[in-house]
Amino acid sequence: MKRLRLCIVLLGMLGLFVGLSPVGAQAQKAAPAGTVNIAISTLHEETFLPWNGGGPRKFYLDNIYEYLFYVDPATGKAIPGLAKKWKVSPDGKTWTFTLRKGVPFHEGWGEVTSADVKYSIEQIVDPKSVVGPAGQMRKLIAKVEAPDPYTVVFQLTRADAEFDFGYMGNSMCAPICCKKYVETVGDEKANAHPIGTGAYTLTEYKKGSSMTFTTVKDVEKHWRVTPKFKTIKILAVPEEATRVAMLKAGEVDLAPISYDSVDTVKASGLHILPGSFWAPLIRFGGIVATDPKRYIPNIPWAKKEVRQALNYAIDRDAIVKNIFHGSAVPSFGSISSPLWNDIPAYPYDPEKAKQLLKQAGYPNGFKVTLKVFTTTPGAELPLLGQTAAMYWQNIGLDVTVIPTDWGTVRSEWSGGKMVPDYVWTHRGLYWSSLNSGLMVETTSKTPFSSYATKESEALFDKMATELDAKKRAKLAVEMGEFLREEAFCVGLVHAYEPHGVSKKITAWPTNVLYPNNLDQLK
Amino acid sequence: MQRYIAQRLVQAVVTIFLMSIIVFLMGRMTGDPATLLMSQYSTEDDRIEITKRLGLDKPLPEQYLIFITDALHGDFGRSVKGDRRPALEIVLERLPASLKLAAVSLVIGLLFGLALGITSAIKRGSALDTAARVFALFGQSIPVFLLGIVLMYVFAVLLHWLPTSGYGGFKYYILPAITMSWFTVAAITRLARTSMLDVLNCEYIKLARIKGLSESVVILKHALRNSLIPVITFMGTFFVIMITGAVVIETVFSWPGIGRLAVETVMDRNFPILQTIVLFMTTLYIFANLFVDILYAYVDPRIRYDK
Repeated sequence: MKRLRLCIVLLGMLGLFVGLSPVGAQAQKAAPAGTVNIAISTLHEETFLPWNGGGPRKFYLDNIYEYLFYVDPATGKAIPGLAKKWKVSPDGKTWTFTLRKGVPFHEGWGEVTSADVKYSIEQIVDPKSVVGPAGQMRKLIAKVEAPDPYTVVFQLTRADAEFDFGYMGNSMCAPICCKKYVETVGDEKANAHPIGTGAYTLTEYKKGSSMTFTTVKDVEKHWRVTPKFKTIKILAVPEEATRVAMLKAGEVDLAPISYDSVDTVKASGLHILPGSFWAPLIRFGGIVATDPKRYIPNIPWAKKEVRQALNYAIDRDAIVKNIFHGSAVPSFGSISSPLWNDIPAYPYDPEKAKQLLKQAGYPNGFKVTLKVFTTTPGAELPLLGQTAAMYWQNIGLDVTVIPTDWGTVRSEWSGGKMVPDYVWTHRGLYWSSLNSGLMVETTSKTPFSSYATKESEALFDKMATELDAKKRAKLAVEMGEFLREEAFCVGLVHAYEPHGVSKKITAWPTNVLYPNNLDQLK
Repeated sequence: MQRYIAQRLVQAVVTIFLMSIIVFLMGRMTGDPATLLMSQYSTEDDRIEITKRLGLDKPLPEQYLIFITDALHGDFGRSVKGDRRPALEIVLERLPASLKLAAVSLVIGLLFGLALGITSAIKRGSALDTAARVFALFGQSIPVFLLGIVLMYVFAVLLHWLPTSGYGGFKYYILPAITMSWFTVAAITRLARTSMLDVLNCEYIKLARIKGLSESVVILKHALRNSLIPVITFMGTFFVIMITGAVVIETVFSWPGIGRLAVETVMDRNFPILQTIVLFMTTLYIFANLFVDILYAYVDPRIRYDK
């Protein structure tokens, strides 16, 4: 039943994508009209060059800039973007991309060439760059070459079977900027007046308050998409109650809301669409077994049986029903992959949980500290933490719930100064590909690792470098089953942040990898 | 008087210095800012590089020394996020929005507070007096968050008279300014009422009445001026409270002022901006109090601070 529901949700999501890929979007040719107003909780760093801030800015940057690849909604694989074709060497370390000809930058700054791609990537991997993927890309990319105006060659330090869409796709933050423009006007002016190839350009910006994007001239001839709306206005509205009021007052057409506000928004004649993917879970501290600095061997949950017990103790169906109002599916972990659709979440079985605890040498339970905090999305995290604590108390654990803030836990988790000897709620992280997700979730390669064993690392290395698609898929399933068996975390649910939507918008094709395509609002 | 002012200035400097230490330490004790700059894709090398770039690898006393020396030269550091603009520049960008909202709110607070307070005192025991006292009680006890949301739902969602939130022309000021001034109106009402009652009981007011002056002349010419002294002395404090205490109102009404900036920087551990905001607010508060004390002495000749 759960598998069926998961499939229905995923198929429903996929159904939204039909006709929304770069190619499919060509069918929509009506001239853009009207304004869509969008309220989000924060405008983040409010910078407009890709390398001057973090990935969450993609929500507005992706109106301006474009990518070498886009994610195929049906398969989750790379489809042509600014790169129209590509090939990879047999060792998986050399990727050669052929660029689409004649894609113009805004305001007559020429067409996209390999020099622009080389420049953009070099800026992103520059030591001063603070954009999300920079750290991994510095390690992965040995060299970028531009042998002719339409060919770009990436030399990698190691094989990565998902380099195309995993790093150069629209789910990551490595869009293509105009080299000539940035070098001519300088970073400061290029940041204030960004030039890209996207369907929109920034036409008004009020610091800390709003950004307005308007379609470029002759947008009907845009190579990838003809948007429905002529103008997109993004407003910073940190308070959720205010966003709900704005939706009800008709001031905005799209805004993230909490699950508790879904009914009240629907009652106002508005509808709900899924936005950003999130996967609330509970992470274990001190179980990065391949890094002695992050491993506590005698902590109870270092034993697999204990981790399994903590998973069996939780009734995910009740959580889906009561906290997510039915708009979520139970999960065994934080990563979502269509390849893992058949791997079920742990069922609710408190008796088995007690039995596993006894087997692990904890018949009377143990003391555990659970830290909780809110994030965006993630207003429900403290409630989820309290719920988990209640279930764990039922199997004999002595749980102390400590409310704190994300910054504090994040520091303790990834700061390298201590090993968390507690467990904590987390909203899950956003991954551009299965490779990048698994690298963090199952190896000790990054400060944000929370679980790793020799087996998980070996499995990951094997899967990440396998270029044969069928073999990779098989290895990915093997990896998923291994992680489920290992109970590497207490996965709770997979969900999409609900967004209240006015009647002006009929569809918003988001998926796990890409919630930033405002140019494809219908 | 001069000696008093000099003493207060020394106290102010010491207070700001101590506050700078507290702010500096608190910004670092509650989390490593380097980890907040990292994405999930970051590596251990990134963490080390960011820590070094922000100077967080140096001992805390050394970090503080650098911070305070730079601050004395007007350099409060740079934002740790985005394009790393100067912290002071970012704070000053947001300040006008807070100042404008505080000014409008103060005007509303004074107009309504004085009118209600004085009328209430003159009509003591009347229905109006009772209503004003009830309003003053609720005005000071209702949480601004709740009030803001209620006003928003009534005037924006139900009646569509005003925008829910945002920063723009006159109509955007109305709801946040009313919310912000609500407490001030209540406080000034109570203050003005009490003060006016005190003055109305004074001998010189009785004398004025015995002389046969009309009640309006007694109130407006003789009583009002003296009754305003406590209110005037509190104005500066109210104004600073409105700027520094706008955190909730600016968040609820999406007002891009320094209150909201403070919340954002706390969440981001953007400590250079946070330090700048807190030091700015502390300095503002201390000097507003000092100004009020001095003003008080000038307005009321009976008060002298010198021994």
